[in-house]
This record gives sequence, structure tokens and C-alpha cells, in this order.
Amino acid sequence: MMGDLIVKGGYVYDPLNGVKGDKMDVFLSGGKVVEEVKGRDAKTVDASGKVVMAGGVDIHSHIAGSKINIGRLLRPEDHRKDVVPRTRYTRSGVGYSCPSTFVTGYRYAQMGYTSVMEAAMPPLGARHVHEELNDIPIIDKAGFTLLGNNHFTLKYVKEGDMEGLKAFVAWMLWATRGYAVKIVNPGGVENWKWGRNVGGLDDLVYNYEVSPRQIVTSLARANEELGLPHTIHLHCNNLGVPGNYETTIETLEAVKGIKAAEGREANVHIVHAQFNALDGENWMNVKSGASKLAKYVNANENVTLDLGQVIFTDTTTMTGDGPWQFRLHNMTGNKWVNSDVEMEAGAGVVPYTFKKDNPANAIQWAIGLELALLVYDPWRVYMTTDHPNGGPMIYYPKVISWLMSRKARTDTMLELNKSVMRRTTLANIYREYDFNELATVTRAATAKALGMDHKGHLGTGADADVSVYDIDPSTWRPSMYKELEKAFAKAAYTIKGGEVVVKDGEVVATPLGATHWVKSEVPEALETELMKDLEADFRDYYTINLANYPVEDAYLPTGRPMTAEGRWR
Amino acid sequence: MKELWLTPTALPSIPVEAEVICPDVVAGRTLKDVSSLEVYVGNKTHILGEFFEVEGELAEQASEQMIVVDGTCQTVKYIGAKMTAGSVHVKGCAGMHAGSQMSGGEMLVEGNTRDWAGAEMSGGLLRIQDDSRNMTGGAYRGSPEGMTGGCIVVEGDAGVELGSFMRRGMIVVKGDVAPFCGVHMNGGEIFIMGQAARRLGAEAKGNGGFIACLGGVDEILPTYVHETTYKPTFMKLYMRQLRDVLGLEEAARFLETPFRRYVGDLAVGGNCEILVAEK
Repeated sequence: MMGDLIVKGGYVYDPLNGVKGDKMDVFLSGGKVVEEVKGRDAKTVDASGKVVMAGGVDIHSHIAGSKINIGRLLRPEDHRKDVVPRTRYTRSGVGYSCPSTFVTGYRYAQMGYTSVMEAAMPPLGARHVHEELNDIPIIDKAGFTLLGNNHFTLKYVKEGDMEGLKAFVAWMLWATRGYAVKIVNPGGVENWKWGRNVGGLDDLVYNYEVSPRQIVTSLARANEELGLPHTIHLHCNNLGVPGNYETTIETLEAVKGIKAAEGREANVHIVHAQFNALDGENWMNVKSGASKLAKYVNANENVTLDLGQVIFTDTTTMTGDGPWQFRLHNMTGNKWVNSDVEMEAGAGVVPYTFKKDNPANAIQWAIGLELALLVYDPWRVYMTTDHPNGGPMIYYPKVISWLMSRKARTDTMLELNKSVMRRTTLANIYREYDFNELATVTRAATAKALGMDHKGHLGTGADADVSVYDIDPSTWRPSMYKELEKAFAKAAYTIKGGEVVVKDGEVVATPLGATHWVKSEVPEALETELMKDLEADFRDYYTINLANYPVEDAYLPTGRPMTAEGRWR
Repeated sequence: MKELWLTPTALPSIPVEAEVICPDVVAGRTLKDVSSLEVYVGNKTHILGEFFEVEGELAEQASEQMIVVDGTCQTVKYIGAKMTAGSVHVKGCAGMHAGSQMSGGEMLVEGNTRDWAGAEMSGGLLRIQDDSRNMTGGAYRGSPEGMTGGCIVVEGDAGVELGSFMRRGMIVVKGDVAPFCGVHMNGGEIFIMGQAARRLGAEAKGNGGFIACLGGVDEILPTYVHETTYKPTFMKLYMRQLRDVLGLEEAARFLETPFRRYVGDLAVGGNCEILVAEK
């Protein structure tokens, strides 16, 4: 057991508990935040003149599993430009857009992040995901199970069997040790197995004759009735198609009436909304649809979203949306890998460079920031780059500077293609985040959206995850955005579970973080029924035996289950 | 130009990675500094002075610096890699990655080089007076662009995948080339004065690039089509320049030669040209 720790004299930002930059001490003991530490042997971390926040919580990132591994395989040139040597405490590896597992952990911790969600875990690849999650040191993690194009999901939706679907979702979260229901291009990826896609919410999926609308609403209902901690994690249809903000709003409209689980208002989370807020007819006259989407989000409390902010760099796009990646490959001529997960999902990986002089890329960049600034409630819009799709996560400090400083935005805007001025509203937005709002969009709100009560805040009983940034909020002005960027790139201290893991931007300890997953009990009769169903289809169609399918406990040496109480009929 | 002499003394049997043999690194240092520059042998760090005798003069600017490697060092990798100015003269053979990613200056190797010579080069002149092995002027694995500028002259034969993913620049080979020359080529010029082996220009997109086979080819890919036989004026200009500027006397023989022009690779919708000199 590590000793007690006092984080002394910093400006604390803890939006969940209403602390807005007060100078106070944070006491840590036994891996938790406590009211006071007694005894003289408590170590002190000097945070005077610095910002203190809870450890960062990234709600959407691609850090483990088959997809990022395909990216690693596909992009030796990406590794070559960012080689990370071994130090006394850390292992060697590579970085940039497809970092190795160890480096992923180190780099997140260096930025003060202590919990990261792997946003797409194909059920058949769950073992692989957990193996890699176990190799990511320091941070807490969780995997979101891909269910939107799963054979059984489509089957139950077709039969209209809600109880069956609920039982299946609950069983699947257990079998894959997943944390949330991830839906990627519902119906589209199943159609991609036949070389097609869906063009809208009411197109039909081949052989199942169900529509994306039915899939999304059924899974959202199942999700809420199961009382899962997080809402459905939805990657909408028509991603990357100009004019797709309409599809996004239509999707949100479809799930609007579904009663959210107890304890939260939201019933849907839109991921990397930037890619889904395009207006215009084609890539030549594309413009920002962010203001329209933001207007809808402002008016409807059931929606949360994350940005998927674009960074101007060479990155690797990877998504479960197989058909979109094929389109991107055709559009760019860049190399492409398609991955098909039998019966369940698909994926694609294509390298992509976001260029400043490309009008479409400049607009995409602006859309992300517009969404962040036009959605008034920071509790419902979260900062991500959809690592590595919009850009590698090492650029989070840059995004922070854009959010907090209009000067930073203007300086970047002046380097961009002029279309950013004409076809977006970003130049007219004067809003700047303060530290409190920043703490909200990077940790407090994300933890709340994920239903992780013990994360994202510094109240008594919370996990002792704290980050300290070397910047003085009392003298900081938005024009000093470069200092801000520097401070958030290398945290002065990152404390994970009460242990100092990063000091002055360097990793000094590498404990193994926990893997969170959700346990949802299924009534026995339903479970028997479900198993009968699964057994028959596994025998007929799967390449693996049902008994060998669920992930064993041995794959989760640091598993941390959370129980969800479902409503059953 | 000030000359720094490096004489190999006791090279180990496993390769030495010596990116430091580069005008940009040594310029502005003292001789003592230079001999204590770090080199890698396997997973161990050593100093340059352990393997080379260091003598001569050092300049302030890289452009004023010449490095002479006086002897054969086939196991020394990365000689002249990433150089931007100055010159490097190897009086023997050089190891892998010689002159790779160089963007300026001149490098001369009197013997042969091993794989990846001049890989991803973007400027300058690399002259190899004997054979060069595989991937000369090529792209490192995964890169969408190989050579993006500069000039490589190989006076002996060259190995497979010469100029792969070439984007701009020029490669001249006096001898023969192995298969897959100019694979994925997307611009630039390759001249082969000896015999070109099979599959040259496979998956080449073209983009203004061409491969001139002055000494004949083994076989043209079926995805290339024969368009015409003609005497391009630009070829005359090139040949004159090869003779006068690069000192390749053989080029004079082709001043009036007609060429068969093939266009492809149609498998990828490319418009790369293979020009084969009529005998």
C-alpha cells in the first residue's frame, strides 16, 4: 500500500463538486480522495501556483485491439518518425498515430489522463483487446462492444423481441467484458459484407429487412432498460458524406422519446460529431452544418456528443465503418486494409493527411471547434480527436488551446484555406472556455456520461486520480496560449490511484490500471432461452464454438466490474 | 573545402550505425569532439574514435566540410545519411543506407554500396562507382513517396526495386538492373544503360515519370501498351547533359537513337512511359 499524499496549495477545478479554482489541498489515502490525512508521514506534492484537476477521462479513443493493430502493421513509416527510447522506468516503443501499447499509456499519463475508453471492440476480437489493454500501463480503461451490425442484434430486432435483445446485450457485455454498447454505421457494415452500404435511416439491411432506425432505437431502448451506466455510443450513418448533419439530426429525433435510465437525462451519445456535421452536396461545396446540429443539441437534453477534432497532420484513420473507409481509400488513393469480422462487424484502416490548404479539411477543423463552442452546456460536449482518426491524442493540448483562446484559433485560421472563413461560423465565435469548462469537457462531464461515479472529480470517495498542470490561472490570459499548450502537454504531476506516476512530464512509475466492465444480470428463464438460440446459430454459422467464445477472467487481471440493474418484463 | 579524414581501423563484424559521418554533424566541432561522437553497434553505444582514426580539418559550415573515409567499410551503415550540404568521399565500399534521405551536397563512393543507398533522397548528388544493391533510391517500407529529388548515378549494376515509389529526381545506372525497377513510380526519371530485368515499372502511376532502357529489356509487362516508335527531342537533351554534366560518355551513343514508347501500368490506370532504345 502506498502512503498518503497531500496535493498542496493548487488552484483546484472540480466542476462536479462546484469547486472553481479555489486554493485548497487535496488529500489522498488508500487510492481514494479523503477528507483529511492524519499522521505526519504523508508525502506532499507542491501544487502552489498550479492548476489541479481530477485525472482526465477520454470517452472515445482507439488504443487497443485489431483495428489499431492493423494500423500498426500498415504504417511502418508512421513508427519511424516517432521512436521512443527506453528509460529507467519505461519501456521503448513507437509513437505517433499508431503508438505501441506501452507508449499509449505513458503518453496519456503525461498529459494528465488517467482513464481512456477503447471505443470499438468487435466481440470476436475481445480477447485481443483485453490482451492489449493489459499491456497499457498506468491508465484505467474499458472497451465498448460493437453491437450495431451483429447477427443476433439484427435477428432480434427483426423479430421484434426486445427481451431477447436485452438478454443478448447483457450477455454480450459479459462475454466480451465490455462497458458500453457501441453502434457503428448501423446496418451499413452488414450491407458492406455484400459490397453495399445504407444511404439513410430507412434503407433496409439485406436478408434481415430491418432499417438503421429500428436498430438504433431498439438498442437504445435495450440499453436504457438494462440501466447501463453509459448511453449507446453511436457512430451515425453517412459519416463523411456532405449533407450528413440531416441524417444525424434524424437519428437523434428517432431516439428522442426513449426513456433514459435512472440517474441521467441523455439516452444517446454521438461520437466524433465533427465527421457527422457536414452540410453541402459534395466535397467541392461542403460547408459547416455545426450550427444546425448544435442548435438541435442545445434544444434537446437527451444528446451528448464528442468532437473528433481535426488536427493538421499525417494520421491513420481507423473505424468499424468498413464502407466509409473504402470510400476514403478511393478518394485519396492511399493504402487501405479492410477487415471483416464474421457475423458481427467490420473495419477499415486508411492513412490520411489533414492539410491546411485543403478547403474540406479546413472546414472539418472548424466544425469540431464550432460544435464545442456553440453547444452551450459543456456537460454535453466532450473533447476528443477520436484518436487517431482526427489526429493523434498527443495533440490534445493544441485542442485545449483552441478552445480556451480565440487568438489561438485566429492564428491557426489565418494559415488555413480561406474556405474556413466563408463556409463556417468559427470566425464569429468569441466564446473562450475557462479552466472550469475545460475540466468539465475533459474529465468531469465524460466521467458523468460514462456513469463512472468515482472518476472525474475530487470529492471524498473518488479515485485518487489527480493531475497538476504548471500554469497559474490567476495570471493566465488567452493570448498566452502557447504556455497553456506546454503546460497541458506535460503535466507537472499525474497521480494515479494515489501514486505519483508522472513528475515534470516524465513517467516515474508504471502501475497497471484497472479494466472496467459492466455486469448486468439476466433473469434465468431468459438466459436459458438465449443460450438455446446462441447455441443453434453458433453451431450453424460461427467458426468458433460457443463454449470458447466468452473472454475468460484470466484476461482481466485487474477487472473492475460495475453492476447494472435492469428493468425486465 | 576542409577535409576530415576517417580511416577505419578495427571495424567489428556486426554493423556499426554511424549517422554521425555526415558534414552537418561534424561541422563546427573539434577533432576530439568528432572522435567521441556516438555510434551504435548492436544494442551497445560506442564512440566513433574506437573504429576510425580521426584526422584533418573541420569547417564551421557543413557546406565547407568534406569527409573522406579512407578505406572500405561495408559494415558501416548510414554514411552521409540526412546530409544537407558539403561532401562525403568514401574511398572504398559503403554499408547500407549510404546517403539515404540526403537533401543536398555530394557523396561519392568509389566501391559498391549495399541496400537502401540514397533511399528517400530529396536533393544532392550520390555517385556510386561500382555496384549498388537493392532498393537504391527507394522508399522505406510503408512510405508513399521514395526519392523526391536529387540525382543518383550508379556506375555498376543495381539491385531490385531501384527507385521504388519515386516521385521526382533522377537515377542513372550504367550497368544492368534487377527486377522491379521503378515499381510504383510516380514521377522522376530512370535511365538504364545496361540490360533491364523483368517487371520494370510495375504499378507505376506515371505522373510524368519515365524509365529509359538504353540497353534493352528482358520483358515488358503485359499491362504496358506499345504506342509508337519515335525520336524524342528531350532525350537528346538528356543525353547531352548526361555526357557533359555527369561525365557519362556512353550517353553520346544514344543522341540519335529512336525509342519504342510503352505506356502503363494500365493495371492501376497509370501513364508512366517506358522508352526502349531501338538497337
